[in-house]
Amino acid sequence: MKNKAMLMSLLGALLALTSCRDLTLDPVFYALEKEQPLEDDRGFPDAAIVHRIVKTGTRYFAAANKLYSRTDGASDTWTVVAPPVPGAMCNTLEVFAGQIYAGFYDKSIGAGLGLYRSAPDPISWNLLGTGTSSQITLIKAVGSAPPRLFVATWSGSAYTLSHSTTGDDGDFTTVSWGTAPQADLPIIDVDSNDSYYWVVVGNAVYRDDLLAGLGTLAVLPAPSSGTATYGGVFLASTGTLYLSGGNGLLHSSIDGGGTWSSSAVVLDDKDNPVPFAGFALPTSDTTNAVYVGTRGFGYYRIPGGAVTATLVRSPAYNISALYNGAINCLLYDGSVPQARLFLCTSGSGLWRGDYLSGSEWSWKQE
Amino acid sequence: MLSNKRRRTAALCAIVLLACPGLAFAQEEERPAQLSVYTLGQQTFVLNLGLFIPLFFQDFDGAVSDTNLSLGGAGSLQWGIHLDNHWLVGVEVGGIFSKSLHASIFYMLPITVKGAYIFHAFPFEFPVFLGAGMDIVKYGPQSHIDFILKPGFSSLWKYNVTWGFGLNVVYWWVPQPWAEMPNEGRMGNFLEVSATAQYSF
Repeated sequence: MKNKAMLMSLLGALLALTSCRDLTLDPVFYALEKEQPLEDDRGFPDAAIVHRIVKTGTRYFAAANKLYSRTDGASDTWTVVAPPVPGAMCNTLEVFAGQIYAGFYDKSIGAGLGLYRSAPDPISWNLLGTGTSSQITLIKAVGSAPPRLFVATWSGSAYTLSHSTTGDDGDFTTVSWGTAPQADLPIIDVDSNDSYYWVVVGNAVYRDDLLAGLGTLAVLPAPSSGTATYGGVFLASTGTLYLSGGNGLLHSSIDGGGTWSSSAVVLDDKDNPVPFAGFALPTSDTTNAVYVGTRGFGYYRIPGGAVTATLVRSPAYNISALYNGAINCLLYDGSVPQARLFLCTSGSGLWRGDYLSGSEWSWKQE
Repeated sequence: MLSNKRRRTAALCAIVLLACPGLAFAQEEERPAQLSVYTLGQQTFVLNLGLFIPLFFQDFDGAVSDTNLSLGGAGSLQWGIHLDNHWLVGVEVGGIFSKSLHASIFYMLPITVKGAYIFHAFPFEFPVFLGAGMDIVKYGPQSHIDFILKPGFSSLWKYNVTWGFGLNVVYWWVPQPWAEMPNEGRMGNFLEVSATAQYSF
């Protein structure tokens, strides 16, 4: 009788212990069974910090201190693009009006070398006057009527945001602020629907209410990001505006920021709120699904674009370089036969997801 | 007639034994194999070190798949107490590690109770055993505690009364049902081949 009681206790204890598992993650044996080799050596350094990737025509460019390029061919490999000045490092880039715009800095002293422009092929850099002696921290093309190029610079003591509809030298104008943000708060992101312009600076969101051209940017009442900076602002082709918080919350607005919906819960990892970053809309995924990167927790999928839905951290946890990755930039390329999603990481190089089905991607390190 | 034959046989044996006393000693040396080596209450410590060989995963419908794990390392410590010359019960704590396709490390730490039946063939012993208990499985941020069954056998050479050395072959069966997504449930099948050192006291 005593032995039977002991046996039952042991079985009960074992049953209780089997509940010690994270139900949001796949079971271990299943995850192992589904693993695929991650290596797909395209010549990109595996430990690189990748700031940004863009595509123009059939060619990708990636800023990873060195500037790399390859075509979108199935087996093409990355090559280093010669910088405008020997030893210059590239930390950001953008495509605007068919030209490549890139920000370079001096590796040895960390000082900015200004904004450069070139045709994509062949590369021939021209220095633009904007931010010549400053570090370029953001280049972003937004809107379509007209398209507008924004450039943020850091002088060592203050950030400045300029814009141009041509991208030509001498055609950049500094934005006007209703109440200027604190000078040393980083300018994080910009987007527009041609009526509104939204600019994220530190933990504040600014919006231009001129509804024509670009007028004065005023602080927009938006859900708080707490003491952390926002991660990005994104206007999806569906017309929904997304705002990522550094405090584990995502927000969306269908009226340009007048009213907001927010995630139902603060997303966290072991009680650390997830600091969200930039967005992408991979249209090969199910309708309106939006992806948002994080600083150290992979990316999250917003099903149907509804931030109030249950958000799932991706990719699978056994791809630890991405699951625990800081995602600096996402680029969706739906123009190739098998759609691709590129993820730029801080320290784990550049990853390519080849679309499979549903929300599934086959991940390879470039 | 019969009586004479018995007498002749006895006399012949006496002569042979007197002529070759070593035979008598030899018989005495072999005699311990026929006696009890272990008695109730004797204890044993065992150290095992060796290879962990991933075999396959099997889902609960019977389909088999690759584990995508490399050959790994295994080690364990066991304490046991003898019930008699043949039966032993004990507990075993061990661990394995292996590398996945993604070059991440997969761990399992089983804690089992164990029963063994020992076949004797002096100076060798052949324990056949079955262990059952819990297995802490860890891979990346995910960890489980699963049930584990470990049937196996050993071949031991008794160097002396205290020490024995040999080889273990142990099958690890780890069912990992997943009630939330039953199609993701798998049974892990692995093999441990390890060198063993046994200390009895």
